[in-house]
Amino acid sequence: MSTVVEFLGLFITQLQKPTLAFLLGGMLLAALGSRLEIPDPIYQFIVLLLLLKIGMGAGLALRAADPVELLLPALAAMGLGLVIVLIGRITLCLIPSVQKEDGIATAGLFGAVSVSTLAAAMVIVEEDGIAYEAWAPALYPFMDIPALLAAIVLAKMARRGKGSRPRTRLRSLILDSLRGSALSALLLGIALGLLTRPDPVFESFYEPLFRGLLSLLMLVMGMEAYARLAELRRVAHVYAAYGLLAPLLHGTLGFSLGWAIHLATGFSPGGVVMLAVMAASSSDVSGPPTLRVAIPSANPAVYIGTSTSVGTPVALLSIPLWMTLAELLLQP
Amino acid sequence: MTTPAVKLTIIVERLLKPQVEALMQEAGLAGWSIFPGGGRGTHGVHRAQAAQLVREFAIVKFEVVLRDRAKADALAQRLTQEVMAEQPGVVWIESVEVLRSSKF
Repeated sequence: MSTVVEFLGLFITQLQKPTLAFLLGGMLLAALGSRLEIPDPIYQFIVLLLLLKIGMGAGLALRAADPVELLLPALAAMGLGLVIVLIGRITLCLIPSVQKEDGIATAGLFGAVSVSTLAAAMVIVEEDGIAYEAWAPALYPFMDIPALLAAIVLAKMARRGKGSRPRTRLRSLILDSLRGSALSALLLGIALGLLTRPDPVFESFYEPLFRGLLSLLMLVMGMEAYARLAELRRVAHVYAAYGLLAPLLHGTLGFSLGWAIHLATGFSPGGVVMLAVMAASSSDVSGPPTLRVAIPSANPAVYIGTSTSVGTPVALLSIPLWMTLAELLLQP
Repeated sequence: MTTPAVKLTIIVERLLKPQVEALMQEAGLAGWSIFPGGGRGTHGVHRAQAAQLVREFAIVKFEVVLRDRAKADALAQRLTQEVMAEQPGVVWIESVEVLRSSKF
């Protein structure tokens, strides 16, 4: 009993942290019909800075990291991306009201990673003084790309039957994914951190701005989540259930794999939380346009609505859950 | 003073911009204009100025003026069959009068 009370107490304290409070504030504003608008160029600028900062921080840490240490978490990230899409393909697509391609595209977004959720986790974990391998955010593309590719290949297979040849376009799909604005910025950040000496600009500009900019991004996420809810109301209710449950299931898978790596190689509790958050999160910035082009027959209102209006808020609000679990179960 | 010509107008989401440009280049067009915009359509609201998570879902309008009506028709046909087969988009052709006809 005392464990449950302790758990709930820790959880509620986390919800009052600025990052999550701004998300809820954005949702509330949109629900009340507020005319407040964050200009698009400002939003684009915030996302660019956050991605460069996340990339650079990871790159700087990679410079000093032991490549062997990275191997298991990177493999786990890839496996999680693929398994999440397969779980979605098997469970979601079995439901009669679900169109196969809509279900696969939705699973693809949930297998991919959300930049905003990852950034929020970094801030919340740091605020709590939980240490994590600073290179952990570099696991992002290892989970993101395989998940989107798996969804695209599965959708093609569902469409054309066994006669399809998805292999021919795999290379161009990977290149297209890497050229997307989110991954380009993140990879540039990693390269700059790894190969150059950006420390002065990182410490004096990117690092101090990170939290403030993230709070504005959370406001946008909250407003967008509420706005997309209207679209989701028009599609099958099963997606709302998937959006609510999938992040928790995927996060639990990520946490369990991270825990196993923690026991095997001493992967830090913060690193385990990062892996769980990435698995729980669903892509909302970089994934949707990739899927729109690659799976045109899937209904975007379904997969973007499920991810942005349900999946992302649930994933963000579940960050404290993984932290609380890490505090209770893992040895620092 | 003026010469008859046709204006081809194409409205698509930003994510289709590279495909439209590739077709225009293939068709050997000398130039075109692109205008960013916003509005509402079958895919919901496309915001013009407020933040939207995915920039590629904002809309753009292409305008190109040609003197050769057949070329405009052929391009419009390819656009609707290849680019807009499974994606939203609007194309129309209208008659215009141009000055400095050597530019087209």
